[in-house]
This record gives sequence, structure tokens and C-alpha cells, in this order.
Amino acid sequence: MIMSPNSSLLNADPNLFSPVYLDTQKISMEQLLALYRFAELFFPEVGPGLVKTILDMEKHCEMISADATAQERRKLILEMKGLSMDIQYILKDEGERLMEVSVHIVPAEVLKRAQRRGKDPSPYQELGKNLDKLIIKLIIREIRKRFTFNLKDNFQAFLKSRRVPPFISQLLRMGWINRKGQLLECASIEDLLTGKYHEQFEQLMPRELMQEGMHIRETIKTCFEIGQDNDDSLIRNAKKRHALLEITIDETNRKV
Amino acid sequence: MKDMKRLIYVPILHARDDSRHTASVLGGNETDGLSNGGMNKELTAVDEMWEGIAAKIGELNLPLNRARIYQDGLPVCGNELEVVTRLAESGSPNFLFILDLIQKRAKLEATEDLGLLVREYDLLNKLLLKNSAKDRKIMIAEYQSKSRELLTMRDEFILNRINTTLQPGEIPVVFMGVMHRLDKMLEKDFLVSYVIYRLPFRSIGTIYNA
Repeated sequence: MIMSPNSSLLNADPNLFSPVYLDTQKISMEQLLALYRFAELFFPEVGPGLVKTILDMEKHCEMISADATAQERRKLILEMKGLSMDIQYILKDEGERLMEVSVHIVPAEVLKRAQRRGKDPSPYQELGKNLDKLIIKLIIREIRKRFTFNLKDNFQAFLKSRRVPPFISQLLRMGWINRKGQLLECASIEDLLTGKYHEQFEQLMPRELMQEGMHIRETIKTCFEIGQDNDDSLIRNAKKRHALLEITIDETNRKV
Repeated sequence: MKDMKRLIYVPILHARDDSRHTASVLGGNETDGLSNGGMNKELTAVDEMWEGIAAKIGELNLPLNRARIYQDGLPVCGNELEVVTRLAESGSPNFLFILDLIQKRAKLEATEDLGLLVREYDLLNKLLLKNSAKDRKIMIAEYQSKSRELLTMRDEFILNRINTTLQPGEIPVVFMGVMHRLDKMLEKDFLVSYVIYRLPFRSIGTIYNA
């Protein structure tokens, strides 16, 4: 499946959209988040935006801007005439394919189109945001899957008991769980853990499960925070570093 | 083929309020908008990370009496031990761990150029004191560009410190922030072994977003 230039990544089936193949059943949230951070650590200037830029070069060339003079661009276009790049990124876990990105780029074409449009970062930023949302969506899906798995045995036990607790019956009626004890799509984990059904849920569920649920909730929150502005993160880091240096310099001055 | 010396490299993340201390420039009660609960969770995750690093280093069974420690942010000043002690007293798990290694007979080495650290501090002061959003954007760009230059100079200085202070038979143990590229410079002369502690997922965000 090839995406049209205007289609949003969010609207595409993450298992199918081209040029990215991602097996959401096999890749875990730990792996995704670690990779996301890995890209930020080693490409501090472009971060995970590196992949976005490469994808843009292939599919959305008109969104790319290049900071070079017209003269330099003409020279580069001439020199790169006929050249093409095939980039294949395959992520495997012990030989099993988790993710695959295959990109075909014609550098001279990319530069030609970039020249026409000039600097306009907004469409690029929009694509970036969409990709961030997509990653978060995948992580949330994974988190939900784990929480649902953890709850299933408990719900099942209640459903098999002679006297089904009223709260469980209520969840059944609301369509939040099914007869197999599975938590369904419309159920709100937030409402069960900390929201309006918190008290009833806490009375029925073991304490460890509640704690696990809280961890999952924290994780979801973290996922959202990761997508936030990098400037905030830079300022936070700067404050930490400043605090350490202040003590260090103060201590060295004492001796002087 | 040249016999490569072994070097232990610990990439560290300066977690938020690693020193449990608030810089004066920020005012007394600055918490970055985190609730007490949020701060506690974060501090727990920071402690967990350092416990993990300590355990990993323990597993290496290093002869600590032959280990020489090089620490990010520790200047050549003549009172390095006092600096480490003070930072450990302020609650920094990084420096508490360094102090523990020193007590187990590891040697502490003055690592960084004080002048470069003062320049970094001044740069941070400028960045953090600007209040308007427009000024902050300008300062962020300036900070990013200048701090990169400083980082390269610091790495070169540290590399030279390691090469000139390491005694025959000693094993260097280097604690360096993840933004440094010192490890790449060291690869020419040393066989670099990394000590990385992988946090459980629920803690990753806390540390990485710090």
C-alpha cells in the first residue's frame, strides 16, 4: 500500500502503511520507547525526526527545505544527476523481523523540489506530530493489552462464582467486559483506577493488581510527556546541571 | 597488534535534581511543576538506576585498589574529594556511589578543566535567567551551539587527563554524561567496556524526561 501525499499516518493501518512495516504484536513498549530515546540520544539535532525527514524525502518532497544558496543547489543537482539511494532499515529481535523501513530517494529530485518551495516547516512539523501520536498510540495499545491480560483471570473468577458481585454485573451491562472476562475497547482504565468506579474496583481487585494498574497508568502519562516540547526538556536538564555546577564551583572557590 | 588497555565507561543520565539541591538562580521552591509525589517517584527511579549501576560494577569484580575514577563535572582544583563529599552530602546518588568506591580504595582523579566548567555555568546562568519566551528561544539556540563547542573541548581535556594520569596496571572507570563523545575518542587507545543499567519501563520515562 502506498500512501498518497496527503494521507495521515494516523488514518493508516499501522501494520500496513508503506514504506513502514511494523509488527505491533511482536514489538514491545519497552523496545519502542528505548528506540525512540536511542534516536534522541545519538541524533540530538534531529532526534527521531531523522526518520521523518527521510520518509518526507521519499513521499513528501515538497515539504523539505534545504539551507543552501541557489547556486550551490544547482551545482549539487548537476553532480547528483542519475544517483539514487535505497535505504533499508530492518529491526529484528533475535532474527525475528519487527520493523522494516524501505526508502528509495533520488537526491537531485529532493533538492529540486526543496528549491521550489523554500523554507516552510509547518507541514513537516505536522507529519512529525502525527508520527509521535502514532508511536504513542502503539504504546497505549500495548499497555492496554497488558492490563486487560492481568484483569482477565480476576474477572473470570467473579463471573464463574455463584453470586456475581453487582459491580461486575454492572460492567457487563455497560459493555466494559464480556462473559470471558475480557476488558473491552470502550472500557476506561482511568475510570476504574482513579475515576468514578475506583472505589468499587478497589474493593474487588487484589492490591497487587491495583498497583500494577497504577504503574501502567503512569506509563501512559509518560508516553504523552515524551511527545512534548524538547525545549522544556532542555531547560529541565539545564537546571539540573546548573545545580550540580553551582555546588562544585562554590566548593572549589572555598579553597581559593 | 597493540595490547589494548581495558577501560570501564559508565554513561550517566543527570537525573533531575541529582544533587537534591535547588540552584540559587531558580529560587528556593522550584520543582519544575512536579508534585511531591512526582518528585518522590522520580527520586526513587534515580536511586534505582544508581543501585543498578552499582550492582553491575560489583559484578565486574574489579580490583578497586587498581581503579582510577574519572567523573563528569569534577574539576582539577586540588580539593576534589571535598567536592565529591559535598555533592554526596547534598544527596546525589552519583557522588554517593563515587564516595563508596573511594572508601573501597578506588582512586579519585581530577577530571575536568575548571575554566571550561565555569564557562558552562555562565552559559547556563544566561539561559535560565532569561524569562520571556522570545528571549528563551534565542538563548536556547545560543546555548545549544556554545555548549556543543564546550563539550568537545571538555572531552579533549578529559582524554588528555586520562592519558596523562593513568598509572601502569590501573583500570580507568569513567562516569560521563550521555551527551559526551569521549568514549569514541578513547576507543583508539582503550578497550571500552560499557556499564549500562536497563531500567524497568515504568522508570524509564521518569529518568529520560528528567
